[in-house]
Amino acid sequence: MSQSLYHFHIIYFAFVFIFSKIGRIDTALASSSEKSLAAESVVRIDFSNPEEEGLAKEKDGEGEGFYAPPIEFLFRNPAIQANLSAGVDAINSSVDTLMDSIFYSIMNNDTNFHYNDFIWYNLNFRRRLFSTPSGYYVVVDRFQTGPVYNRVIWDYQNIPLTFGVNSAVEAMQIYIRTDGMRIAQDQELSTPRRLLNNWLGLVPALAGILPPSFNQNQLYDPLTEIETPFVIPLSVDKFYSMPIGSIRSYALNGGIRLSPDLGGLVDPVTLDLLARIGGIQERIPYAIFKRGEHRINVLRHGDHTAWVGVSDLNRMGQAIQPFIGQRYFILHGALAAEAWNHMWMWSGVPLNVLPLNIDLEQSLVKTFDQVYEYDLRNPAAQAAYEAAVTGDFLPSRQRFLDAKEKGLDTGVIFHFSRTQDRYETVGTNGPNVAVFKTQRERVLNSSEIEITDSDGKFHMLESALNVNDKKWNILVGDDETRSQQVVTMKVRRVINKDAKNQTDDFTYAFEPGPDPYRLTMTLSIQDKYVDTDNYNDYLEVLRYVTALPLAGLPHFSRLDAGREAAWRRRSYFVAPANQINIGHVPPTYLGRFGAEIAISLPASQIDRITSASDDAKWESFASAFEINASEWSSAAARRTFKFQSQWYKAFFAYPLRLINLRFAELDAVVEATNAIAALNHLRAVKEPLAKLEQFRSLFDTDHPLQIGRAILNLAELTKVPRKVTLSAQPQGNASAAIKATYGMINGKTYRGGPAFPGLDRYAKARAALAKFYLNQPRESVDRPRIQKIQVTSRKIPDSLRTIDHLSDAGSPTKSFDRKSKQAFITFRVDRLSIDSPIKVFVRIDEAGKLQLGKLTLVEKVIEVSPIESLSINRDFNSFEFYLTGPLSPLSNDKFDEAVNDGDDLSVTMAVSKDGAIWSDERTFSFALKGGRLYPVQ
Amino acid sequence: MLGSCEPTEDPLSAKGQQELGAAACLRGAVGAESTAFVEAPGDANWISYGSAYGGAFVRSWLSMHVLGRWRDIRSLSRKLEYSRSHFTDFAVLQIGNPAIDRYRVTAGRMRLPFGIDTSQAPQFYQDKENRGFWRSPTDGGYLTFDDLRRLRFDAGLAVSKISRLDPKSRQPHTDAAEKAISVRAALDVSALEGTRIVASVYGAEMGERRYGLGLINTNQKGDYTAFEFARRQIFSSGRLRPFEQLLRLAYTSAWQRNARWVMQFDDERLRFRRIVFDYERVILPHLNSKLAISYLRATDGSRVSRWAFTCGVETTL
Repeated sequence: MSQSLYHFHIIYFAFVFIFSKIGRIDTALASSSEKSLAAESVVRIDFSNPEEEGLAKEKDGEGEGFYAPPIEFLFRNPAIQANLSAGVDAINSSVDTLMDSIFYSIMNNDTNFHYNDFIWYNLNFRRRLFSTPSGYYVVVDRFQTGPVYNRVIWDYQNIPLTFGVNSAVEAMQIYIRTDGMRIAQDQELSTPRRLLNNWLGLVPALAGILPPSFNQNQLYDPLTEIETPFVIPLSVDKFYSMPIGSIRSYALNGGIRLSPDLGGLVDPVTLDLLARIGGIQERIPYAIFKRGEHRINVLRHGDHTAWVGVSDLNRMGQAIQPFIGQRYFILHGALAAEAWNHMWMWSGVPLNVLPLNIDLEQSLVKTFDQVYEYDLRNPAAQAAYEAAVTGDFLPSRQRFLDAKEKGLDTGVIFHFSRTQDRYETVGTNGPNVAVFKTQRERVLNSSEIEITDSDGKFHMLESALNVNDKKWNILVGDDETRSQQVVTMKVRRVINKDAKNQTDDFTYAFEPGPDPYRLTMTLSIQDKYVDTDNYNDYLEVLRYVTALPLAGLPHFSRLDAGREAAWRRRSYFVAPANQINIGHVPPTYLGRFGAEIAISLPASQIDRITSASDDAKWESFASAFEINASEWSSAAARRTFKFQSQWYKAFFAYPLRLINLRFAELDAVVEATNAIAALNHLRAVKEPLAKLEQFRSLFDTDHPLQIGRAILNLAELTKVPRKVTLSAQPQGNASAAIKATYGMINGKTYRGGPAFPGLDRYAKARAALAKFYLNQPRESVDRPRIQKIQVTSRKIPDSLRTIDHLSDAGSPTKSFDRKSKQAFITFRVDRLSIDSPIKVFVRIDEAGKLQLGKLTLVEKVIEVSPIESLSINRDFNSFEFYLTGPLSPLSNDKFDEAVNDGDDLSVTMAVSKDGAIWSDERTFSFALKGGRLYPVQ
Repeated sequence: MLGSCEPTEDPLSAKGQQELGAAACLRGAVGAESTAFVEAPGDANWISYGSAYGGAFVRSWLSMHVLGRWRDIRSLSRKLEYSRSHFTDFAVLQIGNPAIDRYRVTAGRMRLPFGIDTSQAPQFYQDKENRGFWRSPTDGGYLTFDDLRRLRFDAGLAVSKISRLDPKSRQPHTDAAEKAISVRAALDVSALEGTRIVASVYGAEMGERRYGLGLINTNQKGDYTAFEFARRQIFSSGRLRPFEQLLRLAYTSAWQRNARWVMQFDDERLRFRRIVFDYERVILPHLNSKLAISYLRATDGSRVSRWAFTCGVETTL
């Protein structure tokens, strides 16, 4: 019986196979009539925008620039800084997300060599990738090694008290990478190295099928990460091996801590409940700590220019890191093998689920920064450089003085040195459920700063709030909003009257002048994936924060009307049980979006704000928190039960902050009360240090945008410089008209009020220090720019005879009809003066076929020569090549088959003169069916 | 309308409103499958199955929907073994239309909204699934809020008489009524078109609790991908029994060139892990063939592993 059943199956399979072949022929015939799309013979995309030109120039001239975090913050984690995690490594929080768990964690290796239970030696490699507004990625490879001592010295009532000491040597290399750079580098490498860089081809294969949040730059070139400790530029020769714009940083650090784990205070019933809900653990480690770091940063600023910065950091304080969560292993045991009585079983994919995850740290920080510049063509500078990178800056100082006082050409420039005493509060919280993560990092500090530059010594007081909100999901990656509020005060030191010959007993007085203090508020938004909903929300935020109308910005309909009508038709008759499978029409995807806002309030406006009446202040705060102003604007209204009852809302909403949920309306009364009290105190106090304390109180908020807007409501808008700069890169399958309109907002700048003040001495010092920050390398360099792209359908020239041998009727992918037209691309590149071929990065994905993943058909860097007849102007050049067909340099089986099938194709392009500095990427979509071009609908 | 139930015009357009009056939609399928197991030839079986759906729209906001299914399984080697399963999947009245109305009420004989509960796998594969992850008391209703933009909430209540064994007479009686509620939320992720996240909870008076999380993606060409996680816990006599858990990944391609692929992976805790690849092809109008290969590995301690081959035909209306 069973044998006949097998025969039956074999005959059946053969039968269906024959039908499948017949069906393929039918389908090929039918496909010619599918889709009645309106044909277009040309797909044109124009990225031109005159306003973008002025962007770089403006950035250089004004002092309100936005600064990314310094290098020492790159791996900042209060718990790690306080060495808390050494005692509670049940959950390794470096495994943040599912992508980290499955893929990226292979680049992060943490190995401990144990001497005994409480002494071990740690070896750590780690890679992090940061994105910049222009689309570049900054790769940070870090190596750290050192001994650790960690011992429970007392256990009182289930609360272990741990004592820990550690020290480490750290080396980092920080460099730029783009897809174009990666592919261009790949093509120049030997085959073994190329295979190693791409993990034997696995990484490109994964990139072709995984969601867009998968970034192969995270995994590309593991050898460079491994060589991190060996590339410290201690000699001039080694310096010249650094790519231009890259940074090498190395440090000695160490710390000591005393840490009780307060998790033992939690009652057994709660612990039992947590254990029953999926074995969830809890920890409440607390620590007092002291840490120090001595760091040297080397930046290759130009061909022969080196910047060397030294940074000393001394931090002392307390930290707590409560968390609730667990690490789960999915697909545990899905793979197993057994050989010679040895059983191996795959432990599965680790997934961290941390619904409650908070780090809090309070510390007193002393820092010292110093920056020198060296022209390494000068022998004197070479000697000074080689001493400086080993920590000896005395020769540099002498060479600088030689240049300044004796007029010698030493090639050494002293930028500044800065000492800073800072009181800092750092808080990070946000749930992480592996596929979705939100995180807020909030840093509040107040500092006394002494700066020495080439003109001498001066003092500043500064208080700042930095709030960084980041959201990540597995589908599209992260978006980030950073807001900063900084007040700077120009002061001078004065010896206290009561002090008797004690020069260290001093206070501060304002420098005489018109503008002794200034408040600067900045906001930066970076979102890689913006749809019409997000775009409208962002515009509302920009209008709200700046009080600028931003007239002239385009409006986009939320949905594509045709697709919405199709959705209604499809959904109308659907049975209730099946409705869950039919999602709504999504808002139209536009592309990448970025915005930078700067607002600068001079002292006169700050004084006006602080001296406003209480009623005016409450009214402006009510307006900022979108509450009816009449409910807050009079003293009588503020005495009513209705007003007072708002405290309950804030009280009950407070625990939601533990999971990173904050509601401005609910917290309004608390925020307004605190801020108005701080403003009133600001008015009352006159001493700089007292004002600094009140500014710190004012900045101590969870809703910086609302506080900023309330302050702006009280100011004279005509006297407050405000600016918004937008960046936009159209992507996706939206219509060409929508993409062109969206692309037009790139580089647009809106201004209000008077001009921003120029760079003062302090701003110049900050700008110099910021050269070592992440968003600085290469950003200021003039990069080529793809201005126009035109895709046409074109026949293979009749004169060309040499391709006939390619025609192979037996192969569906290689065969071609000489008469059929192919896609032909012409594009113009600005800011490029060149006579030789340029490098063009081209990636072609199937558009729309797989939405959950993406299917990359080809990814290549090709060389294309300029068209001489069209390149009259030396500032730009035009180029052309066949995108499809036998003359296409991109041709491969997979790509040719997709073209033959008339699939929708998404093309991404970038250009470079040398393979090192690349233009922004441009994306467009088209389909080629029967020799005619169609836009993707 | 027969087979394809879709108006030709946008229901909100003037033409569409004229077109849509009282309407009925009928759909059905009948098929047969034969499955052979490599390691256990004696378990080969033959399945005949079918379904019939009818929907009647009195007005755009008032409609009735009925779906009936049957599945008969016959062992090919031991002809006496026979399993019949005939049931009404749902028979409900719906007030409100999913394309137009934000609030809707659905009531009648049905399952409470929970999870995704969609499988296009061959019948022999579906037959082995643990329906306990989605089953509920049968008589009830649920309220739907759908913002017609990106959010959807369902909240339902259902009751049904259940048979219990009387401890004294040892006879079944149906006095007891099981009551259950469920809440399901769906959020469309605009970042990836056609992607929806579905979260559900379910609680029954007699001690059953279920939690579900799912992800659905339907791309522009119609390829359907679903991931479903469900956990079921039962409190029996005040004690917690070992929980049941399902991880499912299902993929159904759009019909292209008269063919489609179905792939489904299931990981059922303490039962098995299994996967099936199914190729379906239109061989004549309204007549499809299917070929499937599947693998199952038991995780209940028996360490049984089985390859199975299935072929079948199905006619659809």
